[in-house]
Amino acid sequence: MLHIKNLVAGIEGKQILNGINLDVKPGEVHAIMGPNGSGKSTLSSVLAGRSGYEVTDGEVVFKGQNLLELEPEVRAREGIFLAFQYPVEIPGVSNINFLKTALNEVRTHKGLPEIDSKEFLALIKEKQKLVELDNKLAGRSVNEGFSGGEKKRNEIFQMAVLEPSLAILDETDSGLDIDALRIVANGVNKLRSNDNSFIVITHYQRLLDYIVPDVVHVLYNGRIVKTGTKELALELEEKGYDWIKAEVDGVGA
Amino acid sequence: MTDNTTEFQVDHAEVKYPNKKHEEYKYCDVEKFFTSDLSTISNTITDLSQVKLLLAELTEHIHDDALILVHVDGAYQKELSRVPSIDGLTVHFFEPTSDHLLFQNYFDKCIDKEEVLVRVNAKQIHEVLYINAAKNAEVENPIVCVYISTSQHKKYYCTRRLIVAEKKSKLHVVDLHFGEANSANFHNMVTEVAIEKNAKVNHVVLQNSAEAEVLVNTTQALQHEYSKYKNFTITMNGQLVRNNTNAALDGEFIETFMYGLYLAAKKSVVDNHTLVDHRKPNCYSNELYKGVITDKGTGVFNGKIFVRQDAQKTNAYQSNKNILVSKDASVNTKPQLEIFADDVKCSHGTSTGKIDDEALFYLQSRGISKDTAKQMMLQAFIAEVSDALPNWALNAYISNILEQKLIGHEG
Repeated sequence: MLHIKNLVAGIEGKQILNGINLDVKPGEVHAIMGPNGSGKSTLSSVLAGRSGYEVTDGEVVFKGQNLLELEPEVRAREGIFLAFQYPVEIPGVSNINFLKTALNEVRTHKGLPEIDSKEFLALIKEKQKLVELDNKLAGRSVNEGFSGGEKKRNEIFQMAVLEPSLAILDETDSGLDIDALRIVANGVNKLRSNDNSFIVITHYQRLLDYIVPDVVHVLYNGRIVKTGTKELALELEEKGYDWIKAEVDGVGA
Repeated sequence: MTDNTTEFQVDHAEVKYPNKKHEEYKYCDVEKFFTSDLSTISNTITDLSQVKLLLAELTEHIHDDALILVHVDGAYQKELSRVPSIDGLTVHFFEPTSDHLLFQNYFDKCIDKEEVLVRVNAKQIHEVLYINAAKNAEVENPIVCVYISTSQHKKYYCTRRLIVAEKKSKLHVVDLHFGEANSANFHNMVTEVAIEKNAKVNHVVLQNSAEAEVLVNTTQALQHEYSKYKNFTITMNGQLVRNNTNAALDGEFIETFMYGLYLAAKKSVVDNHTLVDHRKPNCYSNELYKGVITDKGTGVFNGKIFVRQDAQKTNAYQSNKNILVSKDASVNTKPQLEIFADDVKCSHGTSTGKIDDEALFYLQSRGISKDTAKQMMLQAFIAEVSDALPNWALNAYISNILEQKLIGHEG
């Protein structure tokens, strides 16, 4: 599915990722944890194609294609979905119209006909239930006036409609209370399948109680310094990041 | 009336047209367009084929029973127009000196004669289009005034109108400005709108002139008590478009709405000057102007609100918002509130920004192309104005043009 090899990238001349190696196979859920400033969000931005980031070395292959050469919208149509850490409010653009436009772009790309309005409404209804998103919210402008939790649920709702093959959840748990966290995680779990993969980026272990990962990576100083099973996340929760920092920095010294 | 050979009595060398040295015309150099090759003789128009094509496209979108008054290069074209008789409605051309009572009452009365182009207009016109809704008449269909300019000569011409909505009447007026692709005419247009007690006028102005055209459009509304005036001024094209849109609120319990939408692309300059003059107490005015500026376009908004000493309990609001799509686009916005009464609610706000990159990326990250995403955001931006347009058949036509123009805009 996704193959990252020695990825070196940064922003405004500052190198942040110092050689990332990561392999994500279909059906797998990978958690990426790490202290603040370790490069978690940079990694998600580079994968989704946010402008301003420069890749200076390495490669990213997604379904056999060089991902870095593709425009963000083409990446999305190919099946990459980024759930934003800070979903953007877009006044005047209706959530529903936006999602319909997006879905049709994805469908056209896959050689499918555009969805008709009736089918679309049925789909929306079904997916709204999945994340317990109020019908009123779907009718409003994109994220405008949504609470923090509603914004995150809207991300998962969009993901459910667009059915990506690789979803990157960028600190989706930040700012969520325990109920919202459960709803979001439930939504994700229902979308898990043998074909879909997830990269769950998080600072805390909490989310991983609900979305149980196959692999846990620790990112520090722009490198994956440790890889393990879900138990690694528990260990981090218990001991914090300092022991890893010490381990890594000790090796470097 | 196609054969209209009246020569203007104004010597352009004698007139001091406004240029950049005038505070009110700082960004709008009118003088430089009065060049020696500008013809002031309205020649006979020999070839109307292009005009007819433009019209055919347009009339598809207009009610079958609407009035259409077609002007070509400023001259009224009877045979291209459609003037069915409608109860309570009078459409007539008067000479400026006519002694018709209502005409005399309102013609050239409350317009600002300090404005050079208004003064010149008065000297140069020989007929005034008079549109009148009689007392209690509710004219349902819009009266569509079409102004097409041809490219056969580079011309300067003036047009003049007086619209009178008598007590308790209702009137909808739509102005459509179009130009053949190569037209480089200069149109100096003046409209007075008198709205009597309890009358309502909706006035939609759509300016889609040719790229090289110059249009100076002055509108002066005079409102009496309990009247309502809604003005929409939508500018989409033209080399230089200057709108002076003024309302005098000369009675109590008046409502005035001024909406504006301007797209300035390439090197065009769109300059909107508005004046809302609150003369009496208990009136309400609301003004919303939005601009999308791209390429090397220039947008100007100057909004004056006067609240005179008598005008207690005035509610006056004004907002001007702009999006600069390109690096070389510029906008100059200046709200001017002069308040002499002490018990009023007034506010004004202005903002200028660019398309939000993060929002653009958000839409792209869902599979939407950058161009479509931009267009969605620009359309969302202008929707506040376009959604407020009265619900007429012509709206589909207007939003079609807007959509095309927004697609055409490149960052």
